Amino acid sequence: MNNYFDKYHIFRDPIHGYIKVYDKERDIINTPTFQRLRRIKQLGPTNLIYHGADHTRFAHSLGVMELASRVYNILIAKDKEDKLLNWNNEEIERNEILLRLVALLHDVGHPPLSHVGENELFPEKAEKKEKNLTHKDFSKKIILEDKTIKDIIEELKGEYDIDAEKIGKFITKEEPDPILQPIIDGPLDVDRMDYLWRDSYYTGVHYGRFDLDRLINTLVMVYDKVRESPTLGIEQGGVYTAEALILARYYMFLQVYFHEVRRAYDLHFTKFIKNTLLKDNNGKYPIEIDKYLAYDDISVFSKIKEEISNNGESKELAKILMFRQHHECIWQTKDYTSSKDKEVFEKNVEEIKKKFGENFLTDNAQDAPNKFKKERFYVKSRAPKSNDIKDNYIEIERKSNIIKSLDEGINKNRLYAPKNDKLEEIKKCVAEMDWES
Amino acid sequence: MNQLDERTLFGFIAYILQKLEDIKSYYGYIVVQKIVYLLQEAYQVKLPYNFYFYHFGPYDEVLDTNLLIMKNYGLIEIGIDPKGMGYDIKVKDTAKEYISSAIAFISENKEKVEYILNNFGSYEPKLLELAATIHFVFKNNKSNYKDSELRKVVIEKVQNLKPKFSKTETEKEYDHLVKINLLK
Repeated sequence: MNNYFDKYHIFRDPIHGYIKVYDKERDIINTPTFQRLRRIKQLGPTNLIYHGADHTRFAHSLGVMELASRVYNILIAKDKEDKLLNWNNEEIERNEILLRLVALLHDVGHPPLSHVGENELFPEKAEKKEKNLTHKDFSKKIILEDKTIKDIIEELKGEYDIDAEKIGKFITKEEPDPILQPIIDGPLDVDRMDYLWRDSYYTGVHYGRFDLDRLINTLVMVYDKVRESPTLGIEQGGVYTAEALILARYYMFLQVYFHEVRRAYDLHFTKFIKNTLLKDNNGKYPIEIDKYLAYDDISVFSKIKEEISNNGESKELAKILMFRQHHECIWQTKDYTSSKDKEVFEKNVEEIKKKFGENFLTDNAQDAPNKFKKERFYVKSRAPKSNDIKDNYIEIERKSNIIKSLDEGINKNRLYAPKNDKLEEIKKCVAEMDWES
Repeated sequence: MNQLDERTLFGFIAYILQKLEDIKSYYGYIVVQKIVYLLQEAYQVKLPYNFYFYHFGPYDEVLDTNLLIMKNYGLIEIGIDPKGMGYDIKVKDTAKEYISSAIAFISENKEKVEYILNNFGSYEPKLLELAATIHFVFKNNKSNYKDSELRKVVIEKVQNLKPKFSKTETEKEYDHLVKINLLK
């Protein structure tokens, strides 16, 4: 077999410029299963708010793969001096291939409109009835069960000890490679770097940008004394750009991902998909891969048109989606709702429903902005404390007051009402109610 | 799907934290994650989490977010631990109201909480990480291997994921989990 890196192709990308794609990766990209990602919008219905947001999971997957290599190569180059990894050339090559394939395939299991209906529309796990599968479980299933993709990966087994199961279990985080995992899944991972820049570019919301080159070039392997393992960290000079990424993500959540109209469409689309496309399957996506992969954004929009022209049972909901007639947000709590405000919100919603009927929607959006809390993330000091390299790291929250201060969870509650002739009366009633605890 | 309402869920978590305070002088996110993991996955308490493998063993981001929101609600405090290396979570008096609201769910699961805390409450975070990791790997592999192979496979996989633990330490904890009937 030829060396994996012998032959490459160039894909042009508006965010990262030229993206290198090696032969095997192009074979995967050319499968019908991967091409389906061209028909899954990265931000679901967000283009109904930010009209430029038509980009897809296809471009994002390529972007994550490109960034994975850029970060990896920086880490390997710096490790020649620090010698925390001490990998030989074969290990270096093999781990880059593993990382690239995980990056390329991490989102291959997304349903139509990306995160719309995630959880509610997914079937239950076979072994745990009360839990639903996730898009990552579907990514693994596809890698293991889609013959076209699996066969390409399995060719790497002999030479590189990489197989479909390893990639699948890395993606679902059942058995990730402990050293490579933070590059793909951590506070400063390449998935986040790509989606923030890409979503920012296509939505026109500039808050999502940060100094990507600086960030990548200041990443470094550090030694975590608690985990007793090398892991991803950052040089002291990169702390400001790490702060910028965290703030970029924070603002993108508040401005884009948790946008009040976007959240309304998430609810409308979920209901529509459940009641139409998935009606004959108990409102759930099928567990069989061939059937699951038949669904994409086009199937959703075809069904919307069909419901309208055939006067289907979901015609009114289809019109909401087709002609942008979403429910209007008539009340929302602060970004950080207190328990008392939440109680008042729930009580008032009940009262409104009692008075005006049931056709309201409620939404609760939650996120923890400071992803550094879930692990110890280290900064490599400029001035070494000792000759032992393992002593030269300090936790990022001791170096950055901005990161340290982000210690609350976003928790926003919203109430939506249909746009009909009662709307003004409902809004007046809402305005007269006491919403403060 | 699990439909536990927020008030019951937060009340139940506050109850576990209160019980942990009786055993430990301080504890942080890692201990909470692993205790809740064992309750849900080894003792089938119906909680809404989807645990996956992260740096310190089984972890669910939603549980961390829940803790931050409990902080917003004034139910807990999250400080820095006395050694300055990790976190120190403390339940506040205001959580009593939530605990009362969750009383039915707590009663239903009281014995399971007591069992897990009796067996693991005094564990140091590092050993708790090992116990939860062994359980996580066992659960994900039990249907793919014969019973006679399972011990060897799980120990090998745990060693790959957590090379900081020696084979002897891993074997010892594996056998302990078998003895208390947690690997089934």
